[in-house]
Amino acid sequence: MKERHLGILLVLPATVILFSVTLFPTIFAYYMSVHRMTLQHFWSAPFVGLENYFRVLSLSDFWYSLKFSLLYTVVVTSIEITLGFFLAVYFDRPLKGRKVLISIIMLPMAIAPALFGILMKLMFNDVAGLIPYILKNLFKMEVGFFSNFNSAFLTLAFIDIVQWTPFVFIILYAAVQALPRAPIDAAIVDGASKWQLIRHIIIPLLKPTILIVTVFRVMDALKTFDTINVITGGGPGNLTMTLSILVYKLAYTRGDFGLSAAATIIYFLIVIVIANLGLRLLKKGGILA
Amino acid sequence: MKLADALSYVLVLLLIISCFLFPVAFVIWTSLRSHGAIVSGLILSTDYTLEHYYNVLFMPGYAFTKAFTNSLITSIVSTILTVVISFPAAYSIARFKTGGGTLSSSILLIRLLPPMVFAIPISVLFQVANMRDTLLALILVYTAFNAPLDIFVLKSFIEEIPIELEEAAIVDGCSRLQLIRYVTLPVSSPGIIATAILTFIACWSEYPFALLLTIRHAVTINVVASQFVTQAVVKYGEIASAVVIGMVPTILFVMLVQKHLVKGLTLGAVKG
Repeated sequence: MKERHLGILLVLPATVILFSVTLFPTIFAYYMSVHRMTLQHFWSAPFVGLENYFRVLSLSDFWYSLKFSLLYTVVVTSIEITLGFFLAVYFDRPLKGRKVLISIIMLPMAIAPALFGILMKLMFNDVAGLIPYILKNLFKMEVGFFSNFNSAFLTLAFIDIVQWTPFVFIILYAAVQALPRAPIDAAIVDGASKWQLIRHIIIPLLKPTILIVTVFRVMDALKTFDTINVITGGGPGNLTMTLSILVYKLAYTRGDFGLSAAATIIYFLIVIVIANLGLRLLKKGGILA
Repeated sequence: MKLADALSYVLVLLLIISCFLFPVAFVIWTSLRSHGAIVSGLILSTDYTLEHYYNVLFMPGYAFTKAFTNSLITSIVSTILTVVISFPAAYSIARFKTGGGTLSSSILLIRLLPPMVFAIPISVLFQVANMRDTLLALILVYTAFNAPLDIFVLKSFIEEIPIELEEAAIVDGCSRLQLIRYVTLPVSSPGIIATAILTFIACWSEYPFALLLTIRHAVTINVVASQFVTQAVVKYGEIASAVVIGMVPTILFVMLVQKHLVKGLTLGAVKG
């Protein structure tokens, strides 16, 4: 009985702080979302009911950024998981300079995403960047990396993949190393090919870890803000607008806090649904209590 | 077979160098090239200089030194506070199963939600409380939003401490609080240090909250650097040196905690 009280006492400080910075803002966001709140009329904002929600739903930028965020999430997550997985399996053998190579792989992950975005913006810059330089002088190609949807999407996806494949790799690599050796050795003795080994032994054994990395990458990709905001600011136009950039722009560029709050609440609900799906998957896989 | 192995090794090596090493080498290289060499596209020019670093750090009107100090203060203070509130919570969840699955799930859920969802209302609330653009506001927010990570990582560290150790202490007449203070805390110190370093990296890297909560006084390195890119578009060398200055602390730390990183990154949910 006394232990239970102590238990509650110990979690109290963290829980109180955690819920006060998440619960109050959420309630306040709801308050903003049902008022016509702009910078001029902030405290005298009239109550407008669900008007802002209808405005969000009829906003083409909203639907565009929703599609952009979802497509971006699916593309970068699947490539990062695949690439990270094969690197992890590849590194599970005696290799020359393995430790050094692993340290190199971890470099992009060690850089703040905003700074990494700036770095990449320089890399793709027409004057200072090496990538346009190489394309121009070696292949006689001139590419406007952020001028149309396809090239902007691919360039940003490439940047995300470079930054977050290391995350997938390092976790899957640790998991591969911790795998029980017996089934793998048995399969090798039985003459399984490399592909059969991966397909029928390694992937099933790694499934829980792959699942949790996927959930984390999906959630992180859905909230993408730092790199894209630094590189394109969601532009040109709304070409690279993620949901995070949209709600930010609605509030701080347009000054329409009510509209931004309504978009935020809808964004919040979408993410909650996806997060709950993820958590349920993890629970079903026995990874989470 | 031997040839195929060698070939695949070379391919993987090329991939790693061009994707992961090249960007970092590129930005360091750019930060050392003279402005003339960069603008005229002279790749082979040996005209190297430390001028950009000097400008970024000492030119009046640039906020980098202040931003670096701000980042350092907020990251260190938030890290300490986060660990201080997270350790007892982690102990409680690990040993007493406080809150059951519900508490753990809600804490994990907070870690998964986009910061931007909370950042806009929080920045308005801080504006009202006259606390926007203060280090205190940043520290509060960082402490709260890093607690989920710390609680999960510390919980998995504590769970790995053999329970017999604690039982022995209780038999010896320790109270629960004494036990936590004199047994669990010292035994988990490697875990605490690793967690603290991960938290520091997370604070140092944080961008959305810093962008919305700071204006002039409390700006962090990420905010100043990202504004600098749009204001000083053609000062490539200075932009590069700002990035290098900002990335050095986290790269050093990541290399230091490489071993513990896995547990931290997956919130200790995967036994690694």
